[in-house]
Amino acid sequence: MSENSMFLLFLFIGYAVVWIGIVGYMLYVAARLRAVERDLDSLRGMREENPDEPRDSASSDG
Amino acid sequence: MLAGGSRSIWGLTAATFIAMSAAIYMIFMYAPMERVQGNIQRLFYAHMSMAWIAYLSFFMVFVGGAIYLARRSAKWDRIARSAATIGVVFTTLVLITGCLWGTRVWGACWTWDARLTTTLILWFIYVGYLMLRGYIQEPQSRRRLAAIVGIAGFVVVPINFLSVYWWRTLHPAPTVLRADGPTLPPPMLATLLVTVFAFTLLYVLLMRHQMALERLIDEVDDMQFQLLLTERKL
Amino acid sequence: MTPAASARSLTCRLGGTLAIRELTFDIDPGERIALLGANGSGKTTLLRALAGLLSPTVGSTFVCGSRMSRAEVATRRMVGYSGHNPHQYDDLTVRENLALVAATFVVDDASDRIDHLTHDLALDEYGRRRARELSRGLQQRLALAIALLPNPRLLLLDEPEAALDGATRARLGEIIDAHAGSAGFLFATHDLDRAAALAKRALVLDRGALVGDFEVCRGDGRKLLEDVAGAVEGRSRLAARPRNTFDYSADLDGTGQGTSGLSLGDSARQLAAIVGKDLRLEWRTREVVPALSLLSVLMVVAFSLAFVVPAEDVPAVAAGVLWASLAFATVVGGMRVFAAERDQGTMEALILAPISRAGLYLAKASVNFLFLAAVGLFSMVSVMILFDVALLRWDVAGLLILGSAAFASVGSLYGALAANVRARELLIPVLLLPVSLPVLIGGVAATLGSLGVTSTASQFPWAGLLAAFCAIFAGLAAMLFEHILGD
Repeated sequence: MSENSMFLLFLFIGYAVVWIGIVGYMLYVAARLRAVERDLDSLRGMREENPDEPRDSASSDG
Repeated sequence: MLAGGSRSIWGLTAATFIAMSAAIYMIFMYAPMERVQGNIQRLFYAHMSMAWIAYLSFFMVFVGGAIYLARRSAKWDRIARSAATIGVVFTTLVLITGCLWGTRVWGACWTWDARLTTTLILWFIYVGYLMLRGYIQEPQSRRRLAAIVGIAGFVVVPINFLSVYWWRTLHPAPTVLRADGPTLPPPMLATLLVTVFAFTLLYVLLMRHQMALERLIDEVDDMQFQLLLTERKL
Repeated sequence: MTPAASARSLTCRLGGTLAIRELTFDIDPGERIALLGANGSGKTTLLRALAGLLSPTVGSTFVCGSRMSRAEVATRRMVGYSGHNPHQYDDLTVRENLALVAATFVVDDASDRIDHLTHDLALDEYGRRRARELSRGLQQRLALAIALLPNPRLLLLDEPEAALDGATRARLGEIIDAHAGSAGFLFATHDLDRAAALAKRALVLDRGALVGDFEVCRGDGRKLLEDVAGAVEGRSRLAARPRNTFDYSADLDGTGQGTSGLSLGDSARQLAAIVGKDLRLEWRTREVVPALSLLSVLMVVAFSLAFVVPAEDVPAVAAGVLWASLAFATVVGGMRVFAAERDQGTMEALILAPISRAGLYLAKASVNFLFLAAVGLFSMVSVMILFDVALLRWDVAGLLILGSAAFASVGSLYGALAANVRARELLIPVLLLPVSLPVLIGGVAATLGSLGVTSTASQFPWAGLLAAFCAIFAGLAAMLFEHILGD
């Protein structure tokens, strides 16, 4: 393989790594987001079952 | 509902996409081939931009930690820990691309020069930061101690850099930030600036997603706490 | 009248459970209150929160009208606390333990008060015995003496009568009258007869909530039992007692902070007491320096076996080995400084002591520095012998001392930080080594300068780097230390 095509190969590997890394990271965040949303929904469900509880205190965040 | 599904996030996503496409076009089509290093030099644009993002992230960890300690607001802790995660991801990519580039240009994947070594040490510091967070259950101690590690870790960056720089240096001399003006040919400089801009937009986008995730995690925690508060009345 | 202590909506979360929830009450000066409830009802958590060992998740606590915060030295000085962890050092004598408390709490007429207390608690004949040689009951008496010695305005005791003999138990009320008569006194107990004998008022906790707050019929344990059972079953008498209407709004923004009431001389004596305590303990137990020195020599042996070194490179390698062994000693030693307190259960005593956090860091870093300097000099001699390099020189010794100070400045910060964290023996090396690398590099480079491997003049900027690192980290740690000593 010529010098130049070796360079091109490394260039390709380099950018492949960059994009696989970034996209992989984004997929990881999306998966975590879905899992946490599921948790949140189940917790909300638990609260719905006890409607006499005070609600206002839950909005402490923000 | 990624990051709240607001209109601004779609605008940001579109802008990032356009800027990144422009950057990729410029890297491969517009920028001239470097005479000595050949095509492999095109790796430099992404490498340098990601290094910038990594340092920016670690600076945000420092700022977030300091403000958290002063105000004890969970929001600043979320900023710090989102930035740390993104910083570690980008530092990893910087190290890998640097290694690929070095293999072709210096003939070695790794050299103990100042910038490489400092970057590797940074990677260790912030992986340690994320590990520490995982080891502490109680949210308030976790935030507090992580903030301290984030602050101390960032303070040591210049000292680390200085010491390794004095120790030995092989890395190419700075090409953009120099007193006598940049030495890069204008098309290369333009490509670099566009790439840095595109990656900065990407960083803002990733930060927003990561922060949305962290916010939900905090919300789950809060809600568990509220359930605990009321569970006795069940 | 300002209450001796107050809780407002006090809620503490421990892991996944709420140990206490929304407690509101006042304790008047001179008032004696029994804290009652089944196991796990939150008594200990409440006492720890009032003492300032736990920060409330929600709500707040006040001592003599000022908000309890860990940062505030003056408030901590007014609290006497004895919990399940003994606050005494096993290898100090009874009198040394008391003298240490007297010094850290800046007690007036310390030796008179110590004489009185040891006399009243029948400890005077054990004054020169080490705490570890005392029976459980005598240790409990010592713990009581430690809580009473600072003449507290708020006295918090967790099952004070647990291991006491009958005679001392019977005199407990009298002893507390004599030494903390005007203090608000809250004690947790399971013995309702003792509670009825000592207390005028009872607080009843059930699964973390306050279910009863009522007057106690003096000496009538059976009546108290009925009242407690009634409170737990929901026949609450919570509203029987009017709430104190002291206005806390003025203090809500944390005013009064910084007025420690201690002079610079007092603070210096506090630090000297802590450094002296650690050095004395090390002298008696020989726990840290011999083990670290041995470790550093072992590192030197391991390095010299691991590398095949050409003769002309020996000085350069020797310098590297010397500093690498000191770096590893730092990692292990940094862990030890606070872990030793943790193992003994005396970390609580340090947290409760009215010492500024920066001062506490300074004291611990000084101790760490002295240990590391000893190890460094020891390692210098062993490298000199094993590598046959003329290392025994004033300039190298000076660099090692400077380097030890730099290592100690960062090692003590991370040691304290991870003292409460699980798996700290894994975490500390991972956190500490990357940030202490400049010291390693600077130390090696400067040593090469003094050995003549590189130019002699080159050692000075490197020594400057070590000094700057030490100053930066000591300053940073002193600023941040109050945030470290947490729950």
